[in-house]
Amino acid sequence: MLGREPEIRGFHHRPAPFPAPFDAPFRSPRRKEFRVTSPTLEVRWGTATDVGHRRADNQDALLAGPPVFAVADGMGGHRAGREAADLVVAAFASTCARPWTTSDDVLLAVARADEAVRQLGGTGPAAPGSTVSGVALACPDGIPSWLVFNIGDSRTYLLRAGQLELVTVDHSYAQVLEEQGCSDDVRSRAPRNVIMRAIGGGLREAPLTDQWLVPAEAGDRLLVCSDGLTTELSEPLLAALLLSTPDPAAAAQGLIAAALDSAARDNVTAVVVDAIAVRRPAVATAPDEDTLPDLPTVPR
Amino acid sequence: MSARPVAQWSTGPHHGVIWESGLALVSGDLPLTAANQLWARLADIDDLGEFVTALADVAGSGLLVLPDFAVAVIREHGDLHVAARGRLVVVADVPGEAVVVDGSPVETWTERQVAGAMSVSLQAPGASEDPTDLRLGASGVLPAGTLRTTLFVGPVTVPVGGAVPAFAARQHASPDTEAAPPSPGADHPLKAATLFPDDDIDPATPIVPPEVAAPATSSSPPSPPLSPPSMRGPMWGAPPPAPVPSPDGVLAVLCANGHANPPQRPRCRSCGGELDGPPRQVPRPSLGRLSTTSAGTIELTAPVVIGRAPRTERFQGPEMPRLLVLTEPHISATHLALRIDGWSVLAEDLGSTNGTYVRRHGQQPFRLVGQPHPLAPGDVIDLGHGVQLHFEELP
Repeated sequence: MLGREPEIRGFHHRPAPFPAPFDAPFRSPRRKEFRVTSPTLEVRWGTATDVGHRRADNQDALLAGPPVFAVADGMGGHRAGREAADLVVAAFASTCARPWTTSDDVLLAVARADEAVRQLGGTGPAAPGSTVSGVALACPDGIPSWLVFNIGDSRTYLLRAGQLELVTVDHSYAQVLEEQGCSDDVRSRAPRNVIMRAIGGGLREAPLTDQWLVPAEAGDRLLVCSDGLTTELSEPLLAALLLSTPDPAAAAQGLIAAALDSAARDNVTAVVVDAIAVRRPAVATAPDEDTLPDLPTVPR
Repeated sequence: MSARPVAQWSTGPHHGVIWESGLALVSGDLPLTAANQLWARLADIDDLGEFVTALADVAGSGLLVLPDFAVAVIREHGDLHVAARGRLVVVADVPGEAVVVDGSPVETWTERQVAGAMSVSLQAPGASEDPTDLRLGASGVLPAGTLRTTLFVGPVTVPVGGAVPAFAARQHASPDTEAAPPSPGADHPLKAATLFPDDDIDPATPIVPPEVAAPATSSSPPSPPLSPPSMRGPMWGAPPPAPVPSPDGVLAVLCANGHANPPQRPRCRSCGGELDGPPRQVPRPSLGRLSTTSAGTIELTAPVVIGRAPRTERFQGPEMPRLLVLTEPHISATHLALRIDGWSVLAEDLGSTNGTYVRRHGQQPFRLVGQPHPLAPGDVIDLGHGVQLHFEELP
């Protein structure tokens, strides 16, 4: 295991123009000229994954390429965990095929993944299952956006304006304790590997999928990762590594290398996605000059 | 929480910082006042990330140009989260091995999780080899080249009070409190293998708790022994409450043209036709229209988040909240939300800087504060400087 290079990939995607109605340039009959552009979210990304120092096989799977970037962390004995994670990734790849995704697509992918993972068989806590977290490219109301989704304890972070923010909320026992206001002492004793929601995993029902919709901004960087990364490294180190490495593939590689320098007790996977260009269709006009504000808003 | 019976120290050009949950050596390049500020912030900190954040704050430098540091955050049973940046290193003694963490090869810093350490030392190159016992206190800042501490492995028997002012309260480390021997079997009592004694399960594999799992075939695993009764309640398996209303249907009366209306209305809100049929469950129709001066008109078919750069709260779909972007600079990033509950549209200010005001016919305009407020037909939301949201055909 030691001395082996982690698996790293990097890509750049320049989307084809989105079809009408936004595509046709529009010329006003009067003096003002508008140019109505198609909504665009141009992304570049890189991925890296490693089995880590303790485990025999890598049960993390990843999907990277518009319109979906996701990490699935499989669980269950022997090879079933990896199979479950692969089925989740395959369901997202086959369901989210159009340039822009919707919440419906994400839920359908989860339903298909849940169905497929169940067919692997097994019951109880040892049944095969998987987490999934990631981001789909969405364009509600013509606004190119990150549609972030999560089931389990993999995570999606947003790095914007130099600040790293955890967008998702873990479905973990530790998170439940935190939401119930338990003391640090109780939380520190909680087993870290118990999750409250999963695809498959012996649960009776298909899981609810937490989602967040965040309008994209040029310069945004998203990190989707398995818990093998976040249990090893502090969030400031994640932020520092993401901030100091412009290339997304190199950033993903740097994160995995840092996790391997730590204990790397689990499989570790990182997907880094950069928004290179974001264009909203130009709408309307600037506000009249005399309505310009005198009370600038503090950015929240 | 872990008690340190004794710390050792040698003098040097750096700042030795000791607090309840850890110890750090920070480059002497950091001004002493900043080191003192750092110490003052560490009292309640038991997380490596929080230490680094505090260091970045007092150094005023950002994460990429921190002063060199070596730090060990101490957890139970000799478990450490350590980090080293630049020329300072961490050496942790675990049985049979000295784990050296050296941040010099990377631009940022190197972190490491260490399990079951007997002692840990933070070192600068060229520090004197023979640290002496530190008989000053459990907490403080001192000029240092090396800091070292032994660690209890096993049950903590010596309570250590909260952080004390630097060197004010003297808490002598006596030989009696030192070196409680590791008690066999006491380390890692929380391993999942204890909770789920199933050899097939890798302890590092995520496990779904049995409460939410389907009934196991023959050998149901025991419940986690650590869950206090309060945690066995509805949180197990129950999803957290959805912050947006459910997209389920509503009870409606249809007019002759098929427009859905609230059951209590005498006439159709769209065409004015008679409403005399029986109420029935229908998919929720559009609850009217929201028109703006600058951002067009949208149908109220789903919750709406409005702002300069609006972001939704957590939702579970399939209905995606809609986003309405108002580019005026006096609008907050996420300014207000329109929520939908049955036949009602409710407006809620999301802590905007400049406020959300409702103009309602025949009433003084009022400011929305706190709870979501139901909107009535003809209401206008005024966000100031001519930015208005008009509501049409509300039920």
